Amino acid sequence: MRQGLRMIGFWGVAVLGVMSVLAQSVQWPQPPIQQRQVIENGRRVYLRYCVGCHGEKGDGQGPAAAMLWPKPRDFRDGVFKFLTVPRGDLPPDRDLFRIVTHGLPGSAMPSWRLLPETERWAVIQYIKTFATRWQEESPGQPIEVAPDPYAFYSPEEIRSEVIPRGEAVYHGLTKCWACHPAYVSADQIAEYLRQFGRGEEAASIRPDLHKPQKTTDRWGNILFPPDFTRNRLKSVSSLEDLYIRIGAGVGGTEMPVWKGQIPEEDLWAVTYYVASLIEKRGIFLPRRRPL
Amino acid sequence: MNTRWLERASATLGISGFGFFIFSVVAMALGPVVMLRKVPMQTVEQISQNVIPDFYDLLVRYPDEFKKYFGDPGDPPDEAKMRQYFAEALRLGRKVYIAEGCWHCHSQFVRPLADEQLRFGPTSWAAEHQNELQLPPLFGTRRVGPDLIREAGVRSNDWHAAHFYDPQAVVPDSVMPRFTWFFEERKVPYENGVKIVPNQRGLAIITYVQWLGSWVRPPAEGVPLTASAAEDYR
Amino acid sequence: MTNHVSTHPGSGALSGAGERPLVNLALVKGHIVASLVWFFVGLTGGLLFSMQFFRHYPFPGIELLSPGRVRMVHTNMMAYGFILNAFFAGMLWSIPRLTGFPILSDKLGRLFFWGWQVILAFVVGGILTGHAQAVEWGETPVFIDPFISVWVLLGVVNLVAPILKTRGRPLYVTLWYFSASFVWTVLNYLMGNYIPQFFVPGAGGAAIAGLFIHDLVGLFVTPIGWGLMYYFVPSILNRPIWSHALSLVGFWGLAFFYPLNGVHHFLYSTIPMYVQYGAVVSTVAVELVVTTVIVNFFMTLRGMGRTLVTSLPIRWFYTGMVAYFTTCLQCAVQVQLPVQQIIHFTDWVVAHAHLVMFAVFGSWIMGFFTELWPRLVRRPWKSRALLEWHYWLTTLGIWTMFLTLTALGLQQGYLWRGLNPWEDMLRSSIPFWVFRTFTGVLIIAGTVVFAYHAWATARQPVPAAVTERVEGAEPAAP
Repeated sequence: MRQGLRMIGFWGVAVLGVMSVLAQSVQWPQPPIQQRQVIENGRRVYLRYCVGCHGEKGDGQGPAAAMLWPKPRDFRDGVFKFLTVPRGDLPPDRDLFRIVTHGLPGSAMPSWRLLPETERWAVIQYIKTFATRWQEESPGQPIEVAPDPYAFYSPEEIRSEVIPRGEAVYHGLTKCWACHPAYVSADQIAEYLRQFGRGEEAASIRPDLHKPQKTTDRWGNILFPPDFTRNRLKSVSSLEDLYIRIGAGVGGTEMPVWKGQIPEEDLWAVTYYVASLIEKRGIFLPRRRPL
Repeated sequence: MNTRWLERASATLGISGFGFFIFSVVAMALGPVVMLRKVPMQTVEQISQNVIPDFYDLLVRYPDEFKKYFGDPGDPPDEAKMRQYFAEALRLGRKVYIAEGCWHCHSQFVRPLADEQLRFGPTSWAAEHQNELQLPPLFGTRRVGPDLIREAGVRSNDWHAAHFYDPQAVVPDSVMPRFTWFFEERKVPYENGVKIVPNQRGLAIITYVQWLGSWVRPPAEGVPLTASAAEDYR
Repeated sequence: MTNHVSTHPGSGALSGAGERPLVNLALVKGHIVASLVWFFVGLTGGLLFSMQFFRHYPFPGIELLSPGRVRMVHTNMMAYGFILNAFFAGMLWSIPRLTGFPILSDKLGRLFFWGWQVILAFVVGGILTGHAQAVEWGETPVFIDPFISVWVLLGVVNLVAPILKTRGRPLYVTLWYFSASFVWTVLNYLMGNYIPQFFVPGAGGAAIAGLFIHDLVGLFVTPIGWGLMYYFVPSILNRPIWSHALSLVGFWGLAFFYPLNGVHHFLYSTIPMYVQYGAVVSTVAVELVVTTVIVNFFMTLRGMGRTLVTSLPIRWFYTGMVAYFTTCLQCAVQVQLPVQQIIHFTDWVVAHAHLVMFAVFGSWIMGFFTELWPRLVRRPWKSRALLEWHYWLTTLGIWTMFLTLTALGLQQGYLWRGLNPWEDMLRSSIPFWVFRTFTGVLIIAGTVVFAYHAWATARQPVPAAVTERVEGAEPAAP
């Protein structure tokens, strides 16, 4: 009798042990009800606040869209403009959360910071149902902000060394004037191009050099790349933000990924240079991270 | 006690009619005026020295209408001309704001209460109302829509245009009426041949609304990409 | 306590001086009819505007009928069309009877009457074509303001003349209120419509505009309303006011404290705090004064409660007084700064304004219209039932409107306080707003009943028995 009890105890423990080990290897599905509820909640939020511009189908064709420019985002292909991941990659939720929270100043996207936080997260889950990409891919890696090599330069050194270098990079190496306006004369550009060993490209300097070049984005909307001395930037409020924007590019447009394409010193120099252009509007970009 | 003298026309007309009324005006109305005497009233010309960026944006967005209704400031825009047009637009915008009774549903002062500071921005101070465009003051008495004194730059010009044209198209829950008479049709070679653009009153009211609070507009450019998580909730 | 009867007895339909009738009945009647006509204009404006709140405005996208403009027609027609015309009717009836002298000139009376109606028509036109002025309750276009100033002065001169002819004799209570109000109204109109418009901007201008809004209620509508009550209630009840001393307290308290209240419309604004605190304190003081007046009137009714059932005018008057006490009590509470935090800018204030302007003064006006109309057309009311319908529909309408909007105001205030998205407030308000429109329809229905009834009564054949009573109609010596 006692033997029997001991046997039951032993086998019981053994079976439970094996089951618990096996249980670790089982892929339990996501709790589907909760997921559905979040998306359903997000749908309600979307229909209350977003549908006017972004449209019921998430195609950016809401009733108000006709009068807006830039046009509201079309969610159906999962491409967004202002992210921390390299252009074209799927964004992590946090990128979308920031845009929902702060809006995109200069576009018709307002800030939704007073919307309850749960509703903001929920609406992001709903937005992700418009594009199939979200089932197929995973979000990209945010680009890393390299340590600023000029962080300890004095303002005079920044003015006399870093900004001129940025100007040379802007006009000679990255050729930003292909779309953005140039801020120096055509002769000076030719000089900068020679400096980077690309003198032969001086022939491609466009005549309306000091104006933004009209371009078209992947959604077919007319687009003028910003003139930094005049237009507001939509996703930049610090030096690091500007670095990320130049580094990560702008999804759906001609603005490429510069991170890894040019040396870090040049990338930072052009960041300082653009910041100096923005300063002409009286806006001084602070450094977000303490040194 | 003989109170018969209180019942004569001389007392009711003289003491209560003139006396008490003048006392009330001196105490309750002249008091504030005297206290604010050192904050001079700014004229529209003084205000319009700082042309708001949104006014330049209107020139970019609606160049034909801008030139038609205000004038051609040239390219790049001549600053003196822009100041002059800006003053014009502010005056007309305020007139439209009053004519349409906007101030019955939108207030123009933020009270020193936590929820209003979080929702709208810094509390109002007396000097920001000491200008010609607050003559008469547009404090407002009711908020069916939100307060507007911190509206500058919160939304873009095209948002305002779409919203004035059909508020429910932009904000489905809005109860604001449509102001289709701020708009006209322009023939364009795309988008089914017709585009709805603001007319003079439309440009003016957008300018006026974008001006409200432009003096406390934060210098920030846009979304703080590298903000810490805690900052997201500001 | 004895009541000091200080009136020179108005003797019948003729003054002692000559052939001229003491009361110009045609003018009284004209003002009543005009008052009702403008009342309908104002009601229509209110009804239309209220439909905008649940997005069912019947004329969307029509510039001349823009809801924002129609709202101003609503408020201005109620103040200057409905109430001012009605009060002139009441004053044209009571002042000659109380002083014994007719108004200065019948011609002037006619000039005032017609001129005023033309001015009102221009006000409606001016507002609808977009020429409103940004002074609350003085939205009358700037170019019409001088005409209004002159015309109000004409009207006042006409009515103040018989009072001045008493040559220093003590006056009856009604005339205290009337005479003081004449001065107040003229000064207030000049102050509120010109100083903030041309001279003082911002906080100073707002202080003046605040005084103007409040003085329009407190120094024009309220004193004349109470003056009419001091005249009609004793005359219908046929007994004097209970306490003359309380009448004195009521008048002088109101005269001193009411003008100091105005800035309580802009609490927590940039107006200096001492002014705001002063306004709060004097608002509470007004509540105390009002209590004495209410006590005086309810004691006058003592032992005669049955008249509330039998006499429609008395019922209207006392319903109005209950509303008056409610609003003033509410005033004393809602000007407290912690309460202001929640209810300011919400529909609570709208409820309050409707209670004051319609449940109080509207009731009183309807009451004395009910009293005067049979005498003016020399025929008794055609149907008691229709009078009851008028009373019950209107009263039910305005009180349910008040309750709905007060509840809604609290809800809105707390939603804002909780930092909820703005749309939450709109979404949750819409059921209330739909109901509010319904209550407005009740008021309009009641008024339609009254207008039809007045018309039908005037068209009846004259019964012989009534003729005599009307001829000898006399305010019972107060």
